[in-house]
Amino acid sequence: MGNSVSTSTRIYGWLLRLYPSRFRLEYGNEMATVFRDSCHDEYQHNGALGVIGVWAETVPDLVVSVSDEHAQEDFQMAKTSLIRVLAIAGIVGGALWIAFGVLANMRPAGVPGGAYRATDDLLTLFFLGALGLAAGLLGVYLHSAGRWATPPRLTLLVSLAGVAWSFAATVIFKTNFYVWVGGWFTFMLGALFTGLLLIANPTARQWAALFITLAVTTFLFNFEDWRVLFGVVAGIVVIVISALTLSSSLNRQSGPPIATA
Amino acid sequence: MTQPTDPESFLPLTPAAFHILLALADSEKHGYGIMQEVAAISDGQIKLGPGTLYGTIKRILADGWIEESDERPDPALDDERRRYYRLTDFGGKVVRAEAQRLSRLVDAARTKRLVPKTRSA
Repeated sequence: MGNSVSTSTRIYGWLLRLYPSRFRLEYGNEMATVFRDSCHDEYQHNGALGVIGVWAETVPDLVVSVSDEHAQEDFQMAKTSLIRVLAIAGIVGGALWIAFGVLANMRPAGVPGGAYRATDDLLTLFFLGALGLAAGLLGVYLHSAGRWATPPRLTLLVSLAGVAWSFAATVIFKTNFYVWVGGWFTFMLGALFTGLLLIANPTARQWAALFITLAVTTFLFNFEDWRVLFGVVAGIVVIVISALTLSSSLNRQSGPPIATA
Repeated sequence: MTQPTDPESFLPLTPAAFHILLALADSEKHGYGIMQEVAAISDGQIKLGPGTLYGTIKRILADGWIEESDERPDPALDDERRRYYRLTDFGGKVVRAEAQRLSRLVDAARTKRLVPKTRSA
């Protein structure tokens, strides 16, 4: 092999450091092999001039692909960071719902058999929890829904819109109870249909079970007598949904999903 | 991975993706084999550099259009460290849909006399 081939291969190997590290680790050796083979073939046919020709084609490719890969890497990292923040907000939201469920069912001290604590005092917990739920659902949408078929993705968006609607109706615009109920039912139905539609997807059955449970428990914990049980269960479900998203996004640190045979 | 059922939803493909899928349409190949096949089928007009080649391979692997092959050639005949790639069933549908789309475009160009009509046998 000519000296120009081995020198070129060494220089190209050094230039591969310009690529993002994950891309380089995954494909750097292959790229170096392809470049070496190109130089070798050209050298056999056209000598050192052929190797110069390979460089003339490789340098523009290098410039464009390095910037492409960095742009994609930066976008992916920003998206992953956002998903993690949303998932953590979802976990906090679930914890707030558990607190809401427990506190709403506590009777005032020293009044055995007395009335339950007025939920109006605790609504801040509920609505902050709902905000966390919205964050958690958005995290699921950004992280996992891309691998689902279109109908469950749409129903998840409907569900998310329902939470936003009920939150905005009550906390921001302070409209009447029925506007809140409309948003809340939209959320519950959206979550229920997301779960039902995902049953058919063998890789998303855990999401199916979680969304159906979320819909049923958030419906039932509107009933005062069951609030402690279903408030806690709904909170746990929100935490599990968000924790799954967080855990999966942390596992992606090692690299994008690569299909293997 | 759940794939949308309609391959046409991915069209039009980028030239690099289409040429790589086309190169893999009849047999599995390693990176340099793909590069040579692309140059051959395009009469040397398309020369994929290593960066474009593997950047595109990364994306179409993630989309499930191609997969890495388990089978390795006889080490005596080839470098067994090379990775071989092959089309998935869905990748085959995508490349077929793109080929049909391009064929319809050529037909349209032919009716406007931008392309000479093929001589009938």
